[in-house]
Parts: sequence; structure tokens; C-alpha cells
Amino acid sequence: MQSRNSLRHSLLLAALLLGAGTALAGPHLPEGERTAEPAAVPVAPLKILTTLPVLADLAKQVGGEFVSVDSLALPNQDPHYVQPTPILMKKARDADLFVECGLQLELWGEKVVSGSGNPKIQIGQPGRVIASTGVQTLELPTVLSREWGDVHPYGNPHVWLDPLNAKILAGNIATALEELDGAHKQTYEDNLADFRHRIDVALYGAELVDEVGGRKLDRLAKGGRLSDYLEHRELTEMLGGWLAKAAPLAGRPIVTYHKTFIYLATRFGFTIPIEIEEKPGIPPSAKQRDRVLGVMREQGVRTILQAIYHDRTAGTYLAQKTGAHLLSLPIDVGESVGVPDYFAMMDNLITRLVESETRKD
Amino acid sequence: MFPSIRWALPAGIGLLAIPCQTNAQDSQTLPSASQEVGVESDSSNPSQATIQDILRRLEKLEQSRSDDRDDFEFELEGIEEDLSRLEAKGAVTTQRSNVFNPGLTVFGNFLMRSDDQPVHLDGDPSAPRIDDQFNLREMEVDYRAAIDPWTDGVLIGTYESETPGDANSTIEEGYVVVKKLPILDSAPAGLKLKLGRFRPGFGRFNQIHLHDLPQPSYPEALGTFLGPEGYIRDGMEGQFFLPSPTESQTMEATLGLFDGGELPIAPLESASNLSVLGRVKWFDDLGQGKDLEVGLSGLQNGSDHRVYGLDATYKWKPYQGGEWKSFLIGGELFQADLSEAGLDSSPLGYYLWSQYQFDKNLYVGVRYDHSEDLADSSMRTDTYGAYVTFYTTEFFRMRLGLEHSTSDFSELDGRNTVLLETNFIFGSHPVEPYWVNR
Repeated sequence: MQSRNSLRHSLLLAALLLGAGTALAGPHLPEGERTAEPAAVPVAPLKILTTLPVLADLAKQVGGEFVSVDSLALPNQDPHYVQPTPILMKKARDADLFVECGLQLELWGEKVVSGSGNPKIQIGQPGRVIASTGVQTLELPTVLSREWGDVHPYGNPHVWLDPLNAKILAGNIATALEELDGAHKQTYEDNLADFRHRIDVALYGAELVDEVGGRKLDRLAKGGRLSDYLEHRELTEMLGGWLAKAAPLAGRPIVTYHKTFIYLATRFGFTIPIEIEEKPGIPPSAKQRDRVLGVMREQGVRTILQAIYHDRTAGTYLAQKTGAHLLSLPIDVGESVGVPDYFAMMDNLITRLVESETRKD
Repeated sequence: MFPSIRWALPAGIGLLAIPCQTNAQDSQTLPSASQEVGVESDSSNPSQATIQDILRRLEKLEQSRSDDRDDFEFELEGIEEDLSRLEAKGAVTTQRSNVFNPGLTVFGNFLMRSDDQPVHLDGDPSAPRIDDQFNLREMEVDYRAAIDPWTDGVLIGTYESETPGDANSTIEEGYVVVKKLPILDSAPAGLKLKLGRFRPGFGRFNQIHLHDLPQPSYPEALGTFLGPEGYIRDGMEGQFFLPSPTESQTMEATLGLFDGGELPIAPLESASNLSVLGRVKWFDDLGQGKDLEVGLSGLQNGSDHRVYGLDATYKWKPYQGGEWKSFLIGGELFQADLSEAGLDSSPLGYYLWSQYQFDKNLYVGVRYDHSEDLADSSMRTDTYGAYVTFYTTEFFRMRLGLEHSTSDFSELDGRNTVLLETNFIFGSHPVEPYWVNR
């Protein structure tokens, strides 16, 4: 008898559990309704949640007034190691779109999404965007083994540090927005075109973009044939923007802490002879520091570059020993780190690197 | 592999002819061009100036055609490179045809212990001794994957060994998480429904697997009230968000139903007399990498067996420039309310712990553990522990621990133990619990 009562009590509780959940859910708008009556009824902006602030900035550039944007990580946080706290899960709970870089950079993101209980942003749903889709990754490992440290099986994930990749990331976000919010499709397309044009102008200079066109310049730059082409067409003098500014970096050896800057190096022509980390995610031993010291002296390295969140102990030691400059710079976007948007972040990186390489001391 | 692109290549080359056509069109406009430079045009007897003009324009067009040809050649080279990259990428994708297999992770936990007095399994003098031994005490195989658009599945099989070489295999957890019901467009209040066998959401450490604990073993207090390895049972559990007071806070509730029995506070209950569990968790993000979590749990099996828990954890983990420093302090209190012959009415247990992270790899922690015997709350055991943990990476960890116990039980009283724990992980490691710091 006691057992039966207990079972009845338990089933009642189970029903309450489901009932309470339903009651707490609040009003819900099916996804389709958002696009059904775009003009007649003021529609709340699409809620975009991104893993990284830089993706939030790209989403804002593309979404404009029709989106509200937030990010999980802070700009001074290592994107590999964000802790999926309940606050982050709450943020994800009512997001319409969840944007991540992908390439196994933000493994913690999945924990946030599953903890949120938000079905719209689960893998495979229209509300889930892997922004790096279509990016040609670098450092794709030929052998997958933890022996090589924290390897990323699909290639180096810091793709946004190449402005050409930023255009792809923004394009993927725009595609998802168009799918979710077809009523503003044209606006998203226009915003994307405008963003891509601004990247072109910032990268190549306005005059060259007008003369040759951004698309052709991109193809030439991706293929590593831009300089040849400009020489052949006698357009070299017309090159402006970040590429012209970064000319002093061409061929210069720059040591980095982690494998963060390979996309930046590839686009702007500097080399990375060695990383301070022994292997990705493995802090440097004394032996590794000596190895780096040897390479720096041998190659005349003048700059040590690392992300703002990485430990500076080894970099400071190496800078003192060699006279190189230690640059600890933000690779993400935010007012708190002094680079409010993508353009400011890239501009800061190029400016500081060029200053370091050209400084006479 | 890419026939359409291959067909497009000759077509692209064909486009090279376009500048020639353009030239022809341009040539037809030449008379008007010559008019622009103010030269009288006479089609039957063109002047010398007109001829010169035509020649200049022809030269210009030749140059233009040459530039266009160069452009197309550049474009074609790019397309060919893209094609070879795509082919290489396609080959790699083909080799990864096992993408639908579940994520697989293996956890191994190896323990060496040295004691200054005999230690018997489960404190039973007739059971085998476990002091001064090496023991591969746990191998855990973790499979997890999405089942369909609505559910995720998890299966965790464990080989446990309490004495060296004597391993028993068990299903530690095997459950599905229903993220969304086909009849509802979204989960109400972020409801996540868990069905199967798993660690119910009582308190803090009970939900953590052995290999994720910040100490080498579960606290004695938890073992006394919920079982030596924690409370693991078959049942169902729903977790959902409650309205929270501010943006920086969350309130979550958990309600669950489980098979009865197999619980130290209710040893004689049958499985069919279900247990009911409830928990409310409050989390406050205090900013600057600090947060506080407080939870209140209750578990009832039948009308005579209840246990309540109160847990709290404070965490500090700075971001920029201090990413490898952290500080944790927490504790959990258990209070039982029992009405069964042979059990005390209200035994108490609690533990307090703290951990400081010195750099990326090195952690130091302490734990104090107090528990009262369920049968006689006047019989108490206190354990003091200190631990140093070194990670080579998040996949391999070594931990040295020293523990000292005082107890009203003679076998436990005055015991000193040295523990050396090794934990290794291989496979697709899931992210560790957020409060463990990595």
C-alpha cells in the first residue's frame, strides 16, 4: 500500500515537472512566423549568440539593425578554455542563432548549447552556424595524435586573422540570417557586400580596388600571385591598405607563443620560424626556451608576438635575452581591449608589428 | 571528380576569344573616335592623322587584349590550384567515413596507496586488505553521440577494481537526453529530460565522475549518505531554468524519479518503491572571473528515508594575463531524516575543500571531511587531506595526497595514508566540468 502511494506521489511529481516546465516556457514564436509578416508587425531583432566577440562583430556588421548580438567569451579570454557556466547556458537559452568558429576551437561551446536546452541552436539546425565552413585551413595535420599536443584535426582554427577569411565567415553568417529571416534578405546581402568592400579597401587600398576589383584581387592574393600581377600590370604603386603598410614585414622572422598567427603571417608575408610553446597547448620547458633563444639569435628575430591572454613569462625572458620586442596584442574584438571592431583589431596588429620591425633601437 | 569544373576549363579558355570580338566591335566605332580628336574623316582617302590615330588605337587595343589574356591565365591557374586542393580535400573526407560513430573516450585511474596500519575492504576485517597496494581501480569507456534531432545518447561502461586484478564491469551511466519533443517546437524553460541510468543531480560531487574529482576519492561524508562511489540509479530527471533575479544570476531546478533502494540511508527499500529527488541551484556571476554557486538538494525514498544537502562553491579565475591562476573553495552538508529501526534519526556529514592553481599545470588543495555513522551518530570520523596535482596536459595527471583520519572506529582512528593517483585519458575527451579549472 505504501509502495502504491509512493508511486502515485512520484507520478504526480513527474506530471508537475513537465507542467512546471511548460508554464515557465512563456510565449513562443515559431521560427516560421518571424518571416511571415515582416512589414506589418514590428518584429524583435534576431538574437545572435556567438562564441567569440570577433564573430559577434562580424554578425553585427552583416545583421545591422535587425539583429541583437552577444558573445560568450570575453576578448581577453583564451578561446580554447572558456568555462561553460550556467550564465552562458542562460544566454544561449533564447538565442535564434548560435555562431561558432568551429574547427574544434570552442569545444566548450557544445556544452553551453546542450546545457541551454535550446533546440533551435543544436547541431544541424538552421540556428547553428559553423562560421569557418569553406575556409581553406592551414596546418592541416597529416598525423592525428595527442603526441603532437592540442592538435586541431581540421587545421589551425585562428582563421579570422586573415581578412580574406573574415569575408567568408561573414558570408556564412549572412547565409544563415537570410535563411532564418528571409524578409530582410536583401539587407543582409547589401550589408555583406558593404562589409566585403570595406575589407577590400582596408586590405588593398581604395584605388587598387577600383582599378582591378576586389574579387580578382582576392583570387590573386589567395593564390600568392598578387605581387607578380601588380608588377606585370605596373600597378604596384597603387597598392594601399594593410598590405602596403605591412610591406616591411615581408620575409621577416617573427616568433609567436602559440600557433595563433599563421593566417596573419601567410597574408602579410612574415615567417614564424618557431613557437615558444613546445607543442600546441604545452608550456615551454627550459630546454625549449633555449631552443627558441638559439633560433632568435640565428635569424635575427626582432619581434615576439603573442595573444593578450597568453602567459608572458617566457616571452619576457626571451625579449630580455635578445633585445627583441614582446608584443602582447588582442586577437579578438572589444572596447575593453582597445579594439572595438574587426578593422581596429587588424589595424592594431599590423601597425604594432610594423612599428616593432622598423623601430631603430 | 569535378566534371563540371573540368568542362568549364575549356570553356574558360574559349573566353579568351572575347577580347578579339571586343576589338572588332571597338574598330567599328573608330570613325567616331577620330572625330573626337577633331580630324576630318574621309572613308575613301583617310588622312595621315587618321591613320596614325587608328594605329594608336590598335596598339592600345592589342595591349588591352594582352592584359586580358594575362588576367585569364591568372584566373585559370587559380582555378586549377583550387581544383587540386578540392580533390585533396575530397580524398580526406572519403577516408573519414566513420563520422557517425559515437565519440569514444577512455579514462584510466591508477592508485598507489600506502598506509601505516592495516586497511580492509569496506572496513570489514574479514574482507581482503587493500593497504600498501597498487591498483588500477577504474577504467571507464565513454561513448556519446546524437541519436536523432531530438535526443543525445551517452553510455559509460566501467571496469572497477577494489582489489588489484579483481575487476567488475558495470554500466555506470547509460541514458538519453531529450532536448526537444517532436510535439513541441521548443523545450519549455530549457527543459532537458534525462532517461536511463545516471548520476542523479544531488549536490555537487555526486554528479562528478571519479576521474574529474579535485581529490583522489569521494568524500567520506558523501559515501556515508549516498554510497562509496556516489548515488547512481535508474530513473528519469528533468532540469529546467527558473526565473532569475538578475542578468548575472541563474536559477535552475532539477526534479527526478528513481528506482528505490541501493542507498545507504534506505538499504532495505525495494526498487519499485521509487525515490524522489529535487534540487534548486543558484549561480551568481560576480564578475572579473569570480562566481558563486549554491545548491539545495533533497532525496526521499519511501516515507521514512530522507536526506537533504546544501552545497556551495566559490571560484576565482582571472582572465587576461592570469589565465593559469585560480582559487576554489567549497563545501557540502548532508543531513538525514530517518525513521527505520537500526538507523539513527538524524546523522550529519559534511566536507570542506579548497584548491589553488599556481600555474598551468600545478594545483594544491586541501579537504576536511566529517561524517557520522548512520546507525549511531555518536560514532564519528574526521579526515584531513592535502593534495598536490600536476597535469602534463589535460589528458594526463598525477596527484599526490596525504590523509590523516581520526575516528571512533578503531580501524580508522589514527590512520595515515599516502596516495599517488594517476589519471589518463585518450580519445575524444569531453570538456571537463566547468569548475575544475582546465
